[in-house]
Amino acid sequence: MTRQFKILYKTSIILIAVIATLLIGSVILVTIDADVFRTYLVILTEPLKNKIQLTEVIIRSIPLSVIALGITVAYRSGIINIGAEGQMAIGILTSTAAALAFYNVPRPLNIIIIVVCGAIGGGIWGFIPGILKAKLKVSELLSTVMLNYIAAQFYTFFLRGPMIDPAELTLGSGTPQSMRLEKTVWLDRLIRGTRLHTGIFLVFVLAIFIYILLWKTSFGYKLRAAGASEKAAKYGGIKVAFFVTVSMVISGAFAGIAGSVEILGVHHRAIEGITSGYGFSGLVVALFGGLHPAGIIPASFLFGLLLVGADMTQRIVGVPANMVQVLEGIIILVIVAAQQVLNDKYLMDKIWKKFHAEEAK
Amino acid sequence: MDKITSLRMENITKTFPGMKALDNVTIEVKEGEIFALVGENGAGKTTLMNVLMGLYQSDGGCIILNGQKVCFTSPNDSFGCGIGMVHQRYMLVPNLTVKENIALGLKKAWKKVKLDMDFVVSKIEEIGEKYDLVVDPDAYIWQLSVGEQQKVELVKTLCLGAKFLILDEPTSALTPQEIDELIQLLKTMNKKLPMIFISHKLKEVKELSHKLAILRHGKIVFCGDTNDYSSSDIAALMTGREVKMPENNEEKEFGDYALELKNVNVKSIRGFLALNDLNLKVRSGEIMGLAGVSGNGQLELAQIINGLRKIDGGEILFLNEHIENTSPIDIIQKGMGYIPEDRNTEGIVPSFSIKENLILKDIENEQFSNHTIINNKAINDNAEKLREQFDIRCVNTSLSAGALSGGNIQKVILAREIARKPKFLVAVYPTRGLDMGAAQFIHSKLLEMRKNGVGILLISEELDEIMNLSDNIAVIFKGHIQKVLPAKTATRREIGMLMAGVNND
Ligand SMILES: Nc1ncnc2c1ncn2[C@@H]1O[C@H](COP(=O)(O)OP(=O)(O)OP(=O)(O)O)[C@@H](O)[C@H]1O
Ligand SMILES: [Mg+2]
Repeated sequence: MTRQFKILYKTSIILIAVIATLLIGSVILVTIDADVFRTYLVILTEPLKNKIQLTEVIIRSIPLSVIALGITVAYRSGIINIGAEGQMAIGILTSTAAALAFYNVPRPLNIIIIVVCGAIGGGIWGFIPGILKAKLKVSELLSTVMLNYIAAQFYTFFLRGPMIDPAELTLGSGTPQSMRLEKTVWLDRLIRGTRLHTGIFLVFVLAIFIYILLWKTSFGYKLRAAGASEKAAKYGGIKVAFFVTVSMVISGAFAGIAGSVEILGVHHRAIEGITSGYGFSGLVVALFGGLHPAGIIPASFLFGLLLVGADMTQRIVGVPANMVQVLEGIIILVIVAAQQVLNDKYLMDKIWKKFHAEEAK
Repeated sequence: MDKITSLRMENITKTFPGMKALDNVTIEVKEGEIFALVGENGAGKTTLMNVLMGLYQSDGGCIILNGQKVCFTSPNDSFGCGIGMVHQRYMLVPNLTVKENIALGLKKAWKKVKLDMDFVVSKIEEIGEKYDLVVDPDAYIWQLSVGEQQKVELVKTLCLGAKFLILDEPTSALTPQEIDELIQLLKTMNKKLPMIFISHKLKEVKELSHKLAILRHGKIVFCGDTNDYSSSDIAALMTGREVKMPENNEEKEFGDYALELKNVNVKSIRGFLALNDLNLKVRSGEIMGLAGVSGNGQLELAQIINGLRKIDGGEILFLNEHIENTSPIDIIQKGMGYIPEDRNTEGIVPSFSIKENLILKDIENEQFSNHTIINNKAINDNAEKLREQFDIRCVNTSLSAGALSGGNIQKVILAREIARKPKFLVAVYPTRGLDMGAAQFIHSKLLEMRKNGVGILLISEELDEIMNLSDNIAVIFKGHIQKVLPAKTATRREIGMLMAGVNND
């Protein structure tokens, strides 16, 4: 089998997957009576047309990629973390609380404290399913989803109760949101007139950190071994339970960091709806990016594009933004299917034979 | 098609990335024949059978069945023509009964909403009568010994309509008694169906086969009638040199006790005692062979020594330190080496590369990681060195270990465990699935370790291996050491009696 054939084979499968996604998506678009072609065109190109929209895409991709990096760590150790949503929510609460509590601290230190508190909050929320899995073999699929609900309730409770902006109470509108953070802790804007903030640099730092951690350190080696074959890892003296727990803490901490960066860079206070699906989209980004930092960054951009594009379809073509979530679902299904096909060596062998035989004729 | 009267694979060629696994291979099997396929690890035996089963597509050549050219593109095609294969790793579901397992593949029993179990049972009985192959349809797979599971695999393959059998190393997981039974069984079955038989044990090949072909590096180097050649002829043809198994006949002083087990009890998952008041002492520089019918506690014994299983009572001392219920890493760091029984998922991480697997226990070693940063160069050098030393056949050491041939996976594990220079080694079936040359090499390595003062607990089902290598032989029965005999004076008969639970003292 030649190299060219292999590359051709893999790219065509990916192309077929993309086309399949578009086709299945169009069926759904047709059922809601939308203009299929225009919808896709708007989603994929409209956000790229001007500076503001483009930066919005990047802003969305920041939390997505940070969460996806964390999910990658968990996944590599053998855990599917679908609790990033809840971990992010708790991270937002703890970092907001830290920001409101320490307002007399010098700026750089203050920012660090806030982000670290976010990481701790998310980390604790990741630790719970991690330790449950490690010690009691509780399925992470159950525990992380349940913790998402608990986190969502906590979030609402704190924003409506203890952490609500006192001004909201006196003015009487009662919007569930915290006080605005001091200007001194806001992340700098990179381009005037847009919301693009310095959090983007953190993405690259964390991506490099994860790459080195997983593939260049003995810690990462053991973590991946624990995920790849639990039995062999135990045999090799690797404390599987420890790595399962720690990787979930890291995963949760990353979701928490994504939350703090989101409030420091974009919202400047905790409000409802910040997490809005980032946790789940993060999982898709991680898988779509091949569970590798080098794939996750472009994948997060693509999903950022989808999110912004979805808002715009709502305005321009009148297709509800929820449709994008439907598209995301389709993408997950197609990725899973395509991965199966890509890993099927027999199939590849067969197709190679077919082409080869035809060439020979 | 009623019968398979002849099967011919002609000029089969198959390349994997970077290597030619099969090169112009031609074999022919006739009615009533048992055709043996032998050759070194990685010679291409399994690959050739996978081509015949339609699992792999060959790059060139064709298959001719009863004089007609056929084309198999999937296992369904070859099943359809009546070719059935018993894989080395059994594909049975442990939580189902025998008949349920067989029903899984038997499409004729699939009625609209339920399985026609009566049909399955009648089919099992029909096969049992025809081939003298009796299994209990209501037994659960987990209740069966490996030998009985093997029988179930045979029945399953025959129920699915096989008229031609491929057996890939069917004996390597069986006890000597089970092997004898299987060979007798195959002999009677052969009257009704032709077979291809793969094995590294020439005794079996001699006893069973009519024709024989030797594969080396993907080429047929010899093909002839089995009866015309002696075992040693075949061995010489296979390896290209004379193979003589080394023996332990060097007198020496042993050191202090390295491993001591005192009154050890272990409960099994099903409640009975897997190890029952077990006492065993092994000195440095001593090879203690552990003989016993499989399933009498050998695996549990290996696991507790290595901290992979908790004990329910008793003491384990390793170099005078208590190691019962400590963690595997502590025991590894104290100098314990372990060759586990399950090489495919325990001995290696299949998706990791060969070179990564070679340092599975040493990743924290300064040589391979400096302040947690991995030293790739050292890992590569180590892999190249071991690859050469242990003759691991692979295109390069960055390939995933799971893609290696069975024997070469075993070599990776052995290379890692021996190169770590342990102070004590627990070796479970160390040469299972190895070709003769490789087995010889491993035996001489074990003797060399003994010479250097390493204590070895050798767990094996091959009495030859145990009698050749051991200083003393302990016989285990129902989790209890029946007796320890000096290897020099022990007889097969005596060991056999002890293994069966007869103890005259
Ligand atoms: N799927 C694969 N991809 C790449 N190489 C492979 C694959 N399967 C087998 N090989 C290589 O082909 C060669 C032949 O392997 P095969 O499994 O046929 O050997 P074998 O004769 O059955 O050996 P053993 O006695 O050890 O089981 C080996 O070198 C092996 O590494
Ligand atoms: Mg093989």
